[in-house]
Amino acid sequence: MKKMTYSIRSSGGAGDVILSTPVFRALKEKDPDCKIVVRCVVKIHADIYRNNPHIDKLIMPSTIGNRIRAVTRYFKPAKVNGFEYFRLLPSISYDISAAEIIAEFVDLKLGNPKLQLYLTPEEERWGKEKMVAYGKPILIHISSVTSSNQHWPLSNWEELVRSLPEYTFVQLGLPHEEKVEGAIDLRGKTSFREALSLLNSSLSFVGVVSSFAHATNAFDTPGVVLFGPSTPKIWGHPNNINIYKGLPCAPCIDALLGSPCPYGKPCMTTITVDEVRKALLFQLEKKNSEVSYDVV
Amino acid sequence: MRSENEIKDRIDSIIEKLSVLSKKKCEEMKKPLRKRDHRLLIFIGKEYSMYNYALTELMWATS
Repeated sequence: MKKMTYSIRSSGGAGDVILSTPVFRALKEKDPDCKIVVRCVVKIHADIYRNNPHIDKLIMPSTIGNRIRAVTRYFKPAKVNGFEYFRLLPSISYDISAAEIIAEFVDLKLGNPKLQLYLTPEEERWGKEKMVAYGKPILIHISSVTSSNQHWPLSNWEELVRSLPEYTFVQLGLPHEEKVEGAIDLRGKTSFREALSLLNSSLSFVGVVSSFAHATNAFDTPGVVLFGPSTPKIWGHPNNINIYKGLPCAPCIDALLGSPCPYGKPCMTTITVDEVRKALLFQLEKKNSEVSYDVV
Repeated sequence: MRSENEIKDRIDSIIEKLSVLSKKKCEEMKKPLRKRDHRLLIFIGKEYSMYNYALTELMWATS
């Protein structure tokens, strides 16, 4: 019998790509003989899929190669032309997680929605060594590329850092993102894989909904994620405490996307420093406790 | 000011609408992803959100 080949083009932001990772495992579980070929359109997608044992062939992005492929795609379309689940406006029309929606693109029901990122032993060691040097490190990521409506006020971040002086807050992100006073500044100073290695070795994570918030699930890092315009129903993970006010206007991410909130983003501004701090402390103690935490 | 019965009728009609929307959504979600009417799902999502908010407000007003 002929082997089934899934030729998949990567699509979306880094977070969307991370959310697609359980699908490859599920495809292999369903049909161990199938071949999975993933064509990455940008480097960061390839960085996310690298070392994934369920992907048989990972085609790296290259300018010339992409142009040739764009032409060949026209004549021979891929079996699965990208997991563009975000085009379905999932926060308006779906009640299942993004990973589960993505699995439906290949007619699968996800048994195990855990996300998968594979670091090399060297990468793991590098991350561990870096984080040990900081002592009680907590990673923070305060910006969302998708929408500035997801931002929590900078003064709140700084108050959070000040309120827990016994921990070292390490800020990830891009160089143009706002700097949190009191946190170790690693904005733009690591590659994406290096940032993932740091996340793998950190005590916890606090951030807005972003690729790093999703990556916590792959590493079982207990985190605190601040949801405003988007909903934890689609983009939340059980390893995190997902703080979500559920205002009547939310979730608005699929309606507004990057347009400014007409109400002054109360879904984010009503999240208090105290509730984030309490959630974070709970996560830090979680390893020694089985107590459940009620999401706001 | 409307009478209590008038308000209760309004609440009942909203609950009925929400039930119709839920039923339609369930039917649509039973189909494979490619066969779903995503425009209908978005419309249902929008309507559900609106009626759900109205219901919450009316419940509050009558509590």
